Amino acid sequence: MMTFLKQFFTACNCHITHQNDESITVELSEQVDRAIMNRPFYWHYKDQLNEKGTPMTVSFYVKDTGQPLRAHEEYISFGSPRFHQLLHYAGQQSLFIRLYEECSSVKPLQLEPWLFVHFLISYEANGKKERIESLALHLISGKIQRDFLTKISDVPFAQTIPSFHYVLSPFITPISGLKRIQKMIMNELNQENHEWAKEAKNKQEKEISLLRSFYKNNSDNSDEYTREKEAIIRRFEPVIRLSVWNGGLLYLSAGRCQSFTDAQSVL
Amino acid sequence: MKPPILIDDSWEKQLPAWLHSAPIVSNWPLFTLAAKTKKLVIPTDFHGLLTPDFLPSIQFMPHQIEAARTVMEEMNGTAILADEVGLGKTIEAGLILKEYMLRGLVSRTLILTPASLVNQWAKELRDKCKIYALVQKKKPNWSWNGVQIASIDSAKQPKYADSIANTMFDMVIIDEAHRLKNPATLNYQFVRRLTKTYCLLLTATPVQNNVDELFHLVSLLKPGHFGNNESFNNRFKRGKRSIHDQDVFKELLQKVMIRNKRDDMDQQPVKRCVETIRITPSKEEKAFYDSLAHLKEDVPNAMTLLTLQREACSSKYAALSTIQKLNGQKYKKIALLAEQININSKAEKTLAIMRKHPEKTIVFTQYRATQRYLEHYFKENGLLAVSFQGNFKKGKKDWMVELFKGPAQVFIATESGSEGLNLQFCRQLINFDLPWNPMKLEQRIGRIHRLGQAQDVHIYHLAYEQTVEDRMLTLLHEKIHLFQSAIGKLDDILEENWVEEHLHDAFHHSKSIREWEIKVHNLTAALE
Repeated sequence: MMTFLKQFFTACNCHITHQNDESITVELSEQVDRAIMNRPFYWHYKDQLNEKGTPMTVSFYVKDTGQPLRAHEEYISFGSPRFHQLLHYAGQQSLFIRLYEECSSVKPLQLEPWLFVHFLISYEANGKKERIESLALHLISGKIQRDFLTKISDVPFAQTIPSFHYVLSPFITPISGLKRIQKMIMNELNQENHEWAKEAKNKQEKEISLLRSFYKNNSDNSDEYTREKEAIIRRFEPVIRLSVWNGGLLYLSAGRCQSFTDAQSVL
Repeated sequence: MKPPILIDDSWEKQLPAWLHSAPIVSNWPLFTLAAKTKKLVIPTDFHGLLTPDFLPSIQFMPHQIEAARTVMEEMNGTAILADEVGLGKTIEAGLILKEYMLRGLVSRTLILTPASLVNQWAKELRDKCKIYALVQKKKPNWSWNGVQIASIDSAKQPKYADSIANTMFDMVIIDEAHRLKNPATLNYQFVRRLTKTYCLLLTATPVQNNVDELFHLVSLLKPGHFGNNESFNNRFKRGKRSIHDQDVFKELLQKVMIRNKRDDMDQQPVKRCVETIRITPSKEEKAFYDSLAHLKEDVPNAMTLLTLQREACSSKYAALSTIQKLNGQKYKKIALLAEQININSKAEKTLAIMRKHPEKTIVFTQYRATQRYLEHYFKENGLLAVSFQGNFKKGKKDWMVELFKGPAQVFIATESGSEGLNLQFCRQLINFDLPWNPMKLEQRIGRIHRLGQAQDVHIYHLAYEQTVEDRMLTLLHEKIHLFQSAIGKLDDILEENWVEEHLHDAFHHSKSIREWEIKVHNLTAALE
């Protein structure tokens, strides 16, 4: 949790004033304050006066110290609403990125375009499980790389095209690239073993037949029957949902791209 | 069977706009963090619970975790939680709700409770499960997409009933659900109309001697589980109370109901150390107490004398408040004797105990006068004390408990209103005077010796030597292990009520102290 908080606030340009094993104290940036501290009136007031507001300083505790909390102090854990708010904010702020690999080169260097997407795949029935796929499509060759985030974790990036670097135009548009990745995931999903869905469907049918027996002699309760039946359907109906958590365009050097293919041929 | 695949295309729709906007601030560290953290917190398996790991600061009990798991995996979120009182049904329900929320299956939730428990629910959910619920008050907005708590009586009013019935809730939780056993009632019909996906019914007393009631309760949750009315009658019912085919019935019931009993739980690791302290009264106190005996002919009956004597054993103020109501020379003389008393030996002893074991302490007394005196006494001795009475408003009660949790060292409570208080953070209790009913004593101790108490609890009984209190102590409380062995059965005893009635009768209708003693003797003999 502490690692998350530290990385989160650093990434959001908030100044960490104090930190130990138990707690972290942060001077929020104005943007983060507006997004998470829930004080729209304050900011509205400051905006109307055309003044600069003072963002709050907040302490987050990851362990129970036994002491009662004072103002601007709070506990945070993976189960707390605050954590989910921060994670949601992080997701929203990084929905789309565009970055260029920065090589310290004095010769002209060519960068190749990649579409990089984190897909969230949810299996839902009477329970739910999820996974995240980190996939990237080379927008020239159409090759797809898996577990991409790990592969490029140590690449230095720049916001704009660095000097001496130039960018190749994609053959595949990012939108059709996205479609290609979706199609691949769908194919894979269709080949998976869906025992869980079958089980859920069986349970659902059993419950519905019990329900039918309860209402069979009772035709004036058809509303009630429909309502209960719909509830059972919602409780058990198996479905897979596919969505994008975050993604973007990355421009990587040819050497880097080569290293992926090399790694794959070793596999 | 291939489940349908639904694609959320909101990202795709925004993509062209992003591609064409020239400056995009790309936060690579945040991007990586968001992806990695999301991966960490999503449920990777249908089975198991996420919540315990997500709320590391809360110690859930094993039976609570097990209950939540069973409700999730085997009962698919529709269940009756019927643990015995004090085993934490609210927390179980909160745990289940939290789990569904963490898995993203539940968001809009309605919790219906008796009016008096609405705030307690909000507090428990907040403290234990980090669920911040909206308490619906004067102008409720039922469509709020989150957890909301309302009293069932306000929700079922005609002005709200329709809009609630037209709202789809992901989960509905109903506390004290045994009120829903009769399909003819407004409560039952109101709940029947709710549209919900998951449903939890909470009750501590699911079977109140009537098979039909159980049938109706289960049918509310899962219509058809016990068949319809007719087939249920044919198959299971035999007369009004008993059941055919017990095994099948129980098996079916276990599929929708979880019931943990205290007897089945592991032995409570928390020990209870009880110490009885007999105090020698000061000369003045003894003179005062003895003088009361002279009133024998003057008081209306022997029990008033007994009452007076017991009051005197608490404090002179308690006795004087009764004496004042009587007239005559004799009383004046007694009042004079009372004035001679400068020190209350029991109060001194109480202070000594607290000096020796300096920690948060609950002091129970039966008398308001004593309570006021003690508050004053503690204040004089530099201890911050709060007084707690049953007639306080809800908010004030909560505040008093908060004060005790915070700065205050002593919590002085009268009997009434202490039911339902959770004071597990304290482990020292002093009975300044003793109730005539050992069940009351058990309830007092139950305030601190309950689920969630992590340390051994220390109980002190104070009694003056050679007084009526001394005799009561010998008679009743030294036989307390008789009741103590029945702790698990205490609920049953209280439910059956005859023990309490008997004690009540013995105390209030005996013509003499001797008669009272004999009656109590008989009772303890019967229990043995």
